[in-house]
Amino acid sequence: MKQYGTKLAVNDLSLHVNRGEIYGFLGPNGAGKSTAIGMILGIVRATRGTVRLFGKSMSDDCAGIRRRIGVVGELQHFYPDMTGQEYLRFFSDIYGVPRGLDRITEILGRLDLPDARNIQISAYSKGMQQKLAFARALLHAPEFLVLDEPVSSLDPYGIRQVREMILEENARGTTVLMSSHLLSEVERTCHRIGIMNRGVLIVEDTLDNVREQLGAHSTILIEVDRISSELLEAILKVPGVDAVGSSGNSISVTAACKADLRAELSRLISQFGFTVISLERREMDLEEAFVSVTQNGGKIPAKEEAKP
Amino acid sequence: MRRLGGHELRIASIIGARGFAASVSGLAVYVVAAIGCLVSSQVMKTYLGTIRENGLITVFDPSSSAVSAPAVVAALYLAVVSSLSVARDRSSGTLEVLFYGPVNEVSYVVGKYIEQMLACGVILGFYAIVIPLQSMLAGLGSSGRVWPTLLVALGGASAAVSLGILVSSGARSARSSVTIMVGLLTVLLVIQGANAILDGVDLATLPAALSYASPLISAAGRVCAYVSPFGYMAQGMNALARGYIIRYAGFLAASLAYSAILLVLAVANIRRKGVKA
Repeated sequence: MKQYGTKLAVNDLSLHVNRGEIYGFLGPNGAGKSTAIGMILGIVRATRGTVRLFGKSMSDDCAGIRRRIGVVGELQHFYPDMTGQEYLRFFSDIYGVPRGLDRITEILGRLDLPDARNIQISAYSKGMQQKLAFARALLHAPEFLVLDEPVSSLDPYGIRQVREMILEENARGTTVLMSSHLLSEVERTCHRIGIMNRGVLIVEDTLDNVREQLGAHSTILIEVDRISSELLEAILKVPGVDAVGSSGNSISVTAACKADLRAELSRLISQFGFTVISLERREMDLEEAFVSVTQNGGKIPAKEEAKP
Repeated sequence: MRRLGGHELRIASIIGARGFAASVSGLAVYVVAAIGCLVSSQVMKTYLGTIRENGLITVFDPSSSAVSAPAVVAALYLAVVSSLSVARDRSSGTLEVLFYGPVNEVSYVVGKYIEQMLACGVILGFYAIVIPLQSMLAGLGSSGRVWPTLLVALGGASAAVSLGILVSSGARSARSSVTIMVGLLTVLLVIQGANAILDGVDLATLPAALSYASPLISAAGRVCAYVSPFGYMAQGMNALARGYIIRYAGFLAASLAYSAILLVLAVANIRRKGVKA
C-alpha cells in the first residue's frame, strides 16, 4: 500500500510475476502503475507491505537485487555532456559488467545505434534516447526487466526492434514486467496482464481468461448471397449463439468468446442452399477489455452486463 | 546507519570519477584556482606595501599566510557547487536512474563527496605550486608551512563540501538549495568576520549599541567555530601559526569528523525524501 497524505495511490496490491513470463501492467493515467513500479524497484517506499524479488525482500539486499534488474523508466534522464558510449561505460562500471566495451558494442549493434556511440546524448533524437535507455537496461544481462512505456517515443520501425528485443530477452529466460498504453504491443508480447485502476489491481490473468472474466463475446460476421428469416431462426437455435442480427446480405452472430462456430454456421447456411461469400470471427481485443474494465468504476462487470 | 562496504566504495569512486571528469572538462575549477591565485598575489602585494612603508612586517610566514584567503575562495566555491549536486540530480531524474541499479544512498553521497574533493585537490594543487612561487618571486621567501596550511584548507573544504551536500539532499530544487547555501555561508562568514574584528577592539571604544551586541556576537562566533566549515579552517591555521601541532591535528581531525556527521545526515535525508523528483 502507498499513501500520499490522504490520497491512496496504491491499495492492497498483490502482484505476482512468474519467472520467465512477460507481464503486461496496464491502467489508465493516474491508476498507480508508476507508483507500484517504483515500489517494486525500491525507489518508492511502501506505506505498508513488502516487495519480494527473486524470493528476497528488497529491504534485505537492495543492491544485490537491483543488480539483477534492468529498468527503462517512464521518462528518460541522461547526462547530456556524455556520449552514448561514455554513458553506457559509466553504467557498465557501476554494474560491474565484465568486458564492458564488447557488451556495449553488441547491444548498440542490436539496437541499430552503432554510429551514435560517439555522439553527445544531447544531440540524440527522442527515439535514440529511448533506445539508449533500453541499452542501459540490458547491459548487465538482467534476469528481470522492468519496462515503463518502453516504446512510447519510437517510430514503428523502432517499436518493432524493441518488441523483437523484448521477445529475444524473454526467450533467453528474462522475466519482463511491461507497462504500456500501446495495447496492441501488450497484446502481441505479453503472456499475462494485470489491469490497475484507482490504485487497485482489478484483473490479473491471461488475455483469454480476462476476456472470459469480462463475459466477453465473439462476433461472427457472415456475408451470404441471400438471407431468409428461417435461416436466421435456425442460426439462433445453434448451441452457443446468443444473438443474431442482419443487415442487407450480412449476418452478425454473437457467441460465447471461446466458441468457434464458423464451421457449423457455414454448414447450416449450405443446408439452406445459400452461399457463404465471406466469414470472419472477431474476438474482444485488449483495448475493448481495458475500456470495459476501467470504465466500470474499476469493477469487473457481471457476465449478464457484458452481454449484448 | 550501515558501514561503507567494499562494493559501495567501488560504486562511490565510479560516481565520483564521472563527476570529477565533468568538473575538469569545464572552466569553473580553473577560474576559481585563478581567482585564488590573484587573491594571494593581492595579499602579498599588501605585505610588500607594508614593508615598503615600515621597513618591517610581522607575519609568521608570508607564503602560508597568503594561502588562507584563497582557501576560503575554494571552500566557498565548493560549498555552492556541492549544494547543487543532489538537488540537480534529483530534479533532472538522473538520481532515480542511478538508483535503478546497485547504487544506494551511501555510495551516492560518498561519490558526490569524492567528486568535489577531487576538484578541491585540483584547486589546492594550483595553490601549492603558484603561491610559494609568487612568494619567492616577491622576495618574501617560502617555508615548508605551506603544505600543512593547505592540509587545513583541505579539511575546511571537506567540511564545506559536506555542508553543501547536506543542504542539497534536503532541498526541493537546485535553485532553492543554492539560495539556502549562499544565505547560510553569508551568515556564518559575517558572524566570524564580526567576531574577529571585535576580538581586536577595546570594548570601551565601541558605541553603546555595539558594546551590548558584542557578547552576543562573541557567543555566536564561538558556536560558529564548531558549526561553520570556515571555523575549523581558521582555528587550524591559527594553531599552526602558533606552533600548536596537537591542536592543529585536532582541528584537522575535527573537520573530518564534522564532514562525516554531515554526510551521514545527508544519507538519512535522501532516504527520507526519496530519489524521485
